[in-house]
Amino acid sequence: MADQTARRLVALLGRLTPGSRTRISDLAAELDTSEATLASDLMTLALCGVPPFDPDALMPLIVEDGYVEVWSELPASLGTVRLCASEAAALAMALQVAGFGPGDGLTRRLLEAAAATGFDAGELERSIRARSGLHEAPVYQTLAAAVSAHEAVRIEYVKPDAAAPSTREIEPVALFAERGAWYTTAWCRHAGAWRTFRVERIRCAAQTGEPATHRATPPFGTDGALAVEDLPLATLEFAASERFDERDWPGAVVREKRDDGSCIVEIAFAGTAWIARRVVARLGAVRVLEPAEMRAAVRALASREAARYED
Amino acid sequence: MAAFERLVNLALALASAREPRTATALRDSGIYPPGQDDAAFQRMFERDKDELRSMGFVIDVDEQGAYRLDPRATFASTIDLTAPETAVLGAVGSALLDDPAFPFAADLRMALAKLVAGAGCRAAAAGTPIPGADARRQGETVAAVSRAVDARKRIGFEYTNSLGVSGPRTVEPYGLFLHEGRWYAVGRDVEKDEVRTFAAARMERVEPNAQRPKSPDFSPPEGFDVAAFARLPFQYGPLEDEFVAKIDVDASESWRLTALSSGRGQLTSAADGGVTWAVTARSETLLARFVLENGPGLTVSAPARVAERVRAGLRDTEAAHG
Repeated sequence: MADQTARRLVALLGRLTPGSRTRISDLAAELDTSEATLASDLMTLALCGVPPFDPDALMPLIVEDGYVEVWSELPASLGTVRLCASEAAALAMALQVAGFGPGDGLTRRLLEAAAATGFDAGELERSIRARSGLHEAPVYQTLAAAVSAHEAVRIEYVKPDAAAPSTREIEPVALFAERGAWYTTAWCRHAGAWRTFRVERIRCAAQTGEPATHRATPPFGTDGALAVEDLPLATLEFAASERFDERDWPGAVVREKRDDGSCIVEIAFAGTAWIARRVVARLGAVRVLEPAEMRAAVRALASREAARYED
Repeated sequence: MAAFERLVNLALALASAREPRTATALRDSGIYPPGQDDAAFQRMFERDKDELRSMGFVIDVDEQGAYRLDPRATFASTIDLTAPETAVLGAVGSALLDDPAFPFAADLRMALAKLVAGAGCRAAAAGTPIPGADARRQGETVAAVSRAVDARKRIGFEYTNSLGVSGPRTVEPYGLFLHEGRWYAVGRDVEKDEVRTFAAARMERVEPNAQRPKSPDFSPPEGFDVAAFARLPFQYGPLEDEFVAKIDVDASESWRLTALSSGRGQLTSAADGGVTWAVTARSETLLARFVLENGPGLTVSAPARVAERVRAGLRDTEAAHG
């Protein structure tokens, strides 16, 4: 295992260019270390150099007032050190998780330019596959760009309970993954409220160029999803044949376990569509007890889906 | 002098040298402690070269035993990322760097720090780990298996199967895949002489074969691709239960099929723009669940018994909510 301090400093070599001035707290946050530790490391780096180690042969760094400044030419021709095999593999796997495979332009360009010679992302994917979700990479990229630039996005979205996609403008503020699927939390101009959209149900997305109007923090939970504390609750009955797993019903809580193996579960909901579709997909093994609007949504969806089998 | 100071000095000395430098020249240049005996120097020098190589420095040695840094192999080319591409790295970093189930976070952090200013900061998009109470343990297990996959070393572990039966296993790990937030290892169970899939969350006390740690114990089968084991949810189950299902997809929803099918099965276009997806399945229940959860616009058309089961189940559900 490489010396962690050396590894941190090597990771920063490409950023220490003559004339640069960088806030140490920013670098420390990127490297997951404290500002004091990194400042100390940088001060030691300022004592490093090349033989004969006289003042002109040392790293020309000034570390003060929370900044590191490179005041002169470096004693050696340096640059961004290529990613070693484990770093390249981690980057390739992270991009896989976001839906970018070895053949995607972003992955290819990054690894060709910066990975250690001989690293093959395609070969890695044949032994370690971290793809997550069913979304299209360009949609993910558009949403990430909108989050970063605080801009609105026009999307075509397939709601779980709708017969056709709808077009709406949203102001995304977060992207998060849950159970292998990606979601974006956004202010929905169509609904006039905060909403969470499953990325794989977004058919296409384009930045409108308009600035987001809602920058206030939405009511996030600890995991990036909208908080559920103030949402209404639905009560579901699970038959004994249907094992309740919180992973399939995030945020749901078992309220009653019965002797016959069935159970009563409560789950918060912002809209009826998602829960209705999951209940319908259990083909009778899960039943909504209340509220009435959720029961109605399940009834309507089951009827519509059944009709497809009777045409 | 701190170890990292010596490493940086050695890297700088190699990067600044116009000609290859011998070990003796490097030793005498002030990088190494004065008065050190030959054996101690040699050990330290070898260790330092290994450390620098592990961080991405490519150090060549010529026929005379002199060392030089290969700058083209060591330093990255210029990468011009667009703002959306930088945002992708920011979002990915934000989501995965603190995810205990993603076992490669330390390396990812270094990669992002090297490539993109700010991409490793949590200040980008809000992200979230893949949830699970055992996420950290799963991450540690995956890290251990990943190292064994890379080094081609056998591993021993305690495994609890889906029936709750525990026992020791010895496996030659060929690969890992992530499915709905859970990691799975694929490898040859040495005792059973079969390639099997193991849920990382059910593996405990993973230990690599300690004998001859630098020599591989096995080679994976030629052409091995772990994607073949990362099946769709309805494709798990006993082989004897396997059947071919046909799923009709409306024209308006056919755009989702590339992602939904994950490249499995065969797609046949119809005249109206719809698509029929023929795919193997092993669980009727999970096939129905998949089709309904991913609706609207998907219908099971074969086998007829499954289509009828779905229809009847939907009408029962409708009646139960009347």
